[in-house]
Amino acid sequence: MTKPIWPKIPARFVSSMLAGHSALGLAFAALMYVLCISGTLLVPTAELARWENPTVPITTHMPPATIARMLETGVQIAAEQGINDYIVATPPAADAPYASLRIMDFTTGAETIYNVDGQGNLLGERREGALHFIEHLHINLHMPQMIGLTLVGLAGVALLASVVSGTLSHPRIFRDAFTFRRGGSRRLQEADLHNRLSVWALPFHIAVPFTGALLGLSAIILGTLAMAAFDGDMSRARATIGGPVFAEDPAPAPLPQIVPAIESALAKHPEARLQRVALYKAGEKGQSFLVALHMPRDLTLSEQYFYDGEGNLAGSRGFADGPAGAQLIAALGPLHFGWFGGWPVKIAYVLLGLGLTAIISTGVTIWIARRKDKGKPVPGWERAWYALVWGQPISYCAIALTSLFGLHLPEIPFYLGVCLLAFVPAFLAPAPLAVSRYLRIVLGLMLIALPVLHALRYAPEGITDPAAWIVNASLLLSAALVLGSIRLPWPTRKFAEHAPAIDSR
Amino acid sequence: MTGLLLPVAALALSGAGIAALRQAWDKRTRWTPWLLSAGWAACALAVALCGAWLGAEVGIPAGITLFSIVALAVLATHVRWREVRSGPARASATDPSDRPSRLWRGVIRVLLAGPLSGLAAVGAGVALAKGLPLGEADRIAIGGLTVPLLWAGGMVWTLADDRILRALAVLILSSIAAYTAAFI
Repeated sequence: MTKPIWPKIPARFVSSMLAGHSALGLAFAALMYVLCISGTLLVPTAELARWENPTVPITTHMPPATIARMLETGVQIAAEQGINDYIVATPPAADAPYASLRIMDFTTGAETIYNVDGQGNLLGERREGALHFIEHLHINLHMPQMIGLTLVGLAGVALLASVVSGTLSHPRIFRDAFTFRRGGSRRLQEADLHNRLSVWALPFHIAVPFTGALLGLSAIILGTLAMAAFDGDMSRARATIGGPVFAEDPAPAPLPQIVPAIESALAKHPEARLQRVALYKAGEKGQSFLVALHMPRDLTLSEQYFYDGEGNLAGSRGFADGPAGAQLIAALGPLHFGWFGGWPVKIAYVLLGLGLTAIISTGVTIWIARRKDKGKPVPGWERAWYALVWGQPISYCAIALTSLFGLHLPEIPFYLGVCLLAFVPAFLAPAPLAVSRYLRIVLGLMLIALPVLHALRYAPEGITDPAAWIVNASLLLSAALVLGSIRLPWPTRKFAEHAPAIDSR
Repeated sequence: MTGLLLPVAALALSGAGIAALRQAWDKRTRWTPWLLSAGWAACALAVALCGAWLGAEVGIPAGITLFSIVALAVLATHVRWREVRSGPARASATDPSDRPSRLWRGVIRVLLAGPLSGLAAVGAGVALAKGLPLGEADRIAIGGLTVPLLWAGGMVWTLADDRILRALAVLILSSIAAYTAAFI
């Protein structure tokens, strides 16, 4: 026998850490859960967007001249709407094999995205369903941008703090690393799942809330730091963080020559792929444009080269080969959403994201079980928690189902309404676990309905994108797992219903 | 074929490394230190292979993600199914510490973990952004990256420390120190 190499952690320290972990987890549980489950669904954003637009013809390549023509079309459409703020042409990519044109009004924040065929012809507006809703739920909770982002960032800090306090309150972190028990007491079972998922995916659990906190609080943090570091000179701060800044001049001017800029950028980086071209203040003397290149061996989504209205290169953001600080900032998004390394990393991020969602859920159920152990049960909270946990995916499915058939219901009231409806079984079910079971049946049925109705809706038009079938198959698999979990003959089920929870972690 | 060599080798090394770790933690013998070293070395090599395969920037985070997935897959094959037990409670492991629950303590704790920790963290970030002898983008990035880490650290500590007034005092002092360093 050898002595353990890890020092023994005092029990009092562990108790204090657990108290902090518990308080933090309970205070932010609902918010963290909503952010984790919505964030997990955003990992395959490109694939879900393809599922929502399954009839768009697949395009694999688009020459620069076609992209320039797309932008000219975009300028015309924008001019008809009286805007010229931001027009973006996105050529096809490996995970999004179709082109698109995006027109944005900076004053109102309104944007329209059009699908485009291989010849640069507009095919109509892109369908946006549940994905768009989930995106805004995750990024700003559908609140005013600044408030929502700050709240999300704060939840990121709280989740990061929970990860740290949870790790520090685990005195047998290595000894128990492979102990995974199902059955026995409910508290022990949930604690094993909570702790094992937490420990083995620790790098992910640090990276995701850390990058999320920074992304959410970026306006506050980077704004404050830039202002302090540059003694209030915000234009210098903007140039350092956001790349070259161009002086506004509304006098009319011809559109810039974009093709030579794209060709020259690609010639300098032959390994790169054109990611997008964006035109700012189109048709004005103060116009500018950026050419974004995706570098396959860089963590950043793209390097952005800025050109003035004459087509002269003004600089880049340095995301690919600039200062380490710029590269670090550019890596936050891909690291947060798993948008690097292709589909294997995306699958891994979805699995780990579901794991993190389960950790948050089991954190609360451990507390519920502990209360039961101490003779202070909280059946009302238990029912409410199950309603919240299963109400989220149910509400996303409900939004996806309505948008599948073009029913443009007001999304936020509809979402809140479905979330509230999920609480109905909490009042009617004979036992807390029955709430979970009823809601899992509803979710399972919705997960079956979605692919079936999707196929019925789009098959007559011709589903051209194989990603749509892959997403449909994944939905059916999810339905099988959700419904299967109700029937699973685990000892947990028997125990949870007939025996009191008595063990501890 | 050669394109698959590195990812397959990385996967195999991850699996072997985690199996070695499991063996080491399962039963303590004189081989334990060797197994631990070999296990961690194999996992590190697997991450390095991913770096060689996809480039360091993409490959290293991808390799670490792969490590987690392989570890959880190994764990899933070692589930211990237990019989339903309805007997008396066994001795409990550590529980959260019992603290006096008074409203003012709760309010102070929330203030400490939220705004005060945040303020101290931003102060430290500003001090780094102003004072580090680096380029502008690097200073801002390092200062910015520090803020959520310190804020989370402050949250952990203030919520865990049973002596709430000590936490308050230390946080106020560290805020003063950070802002003094930033603006003087």
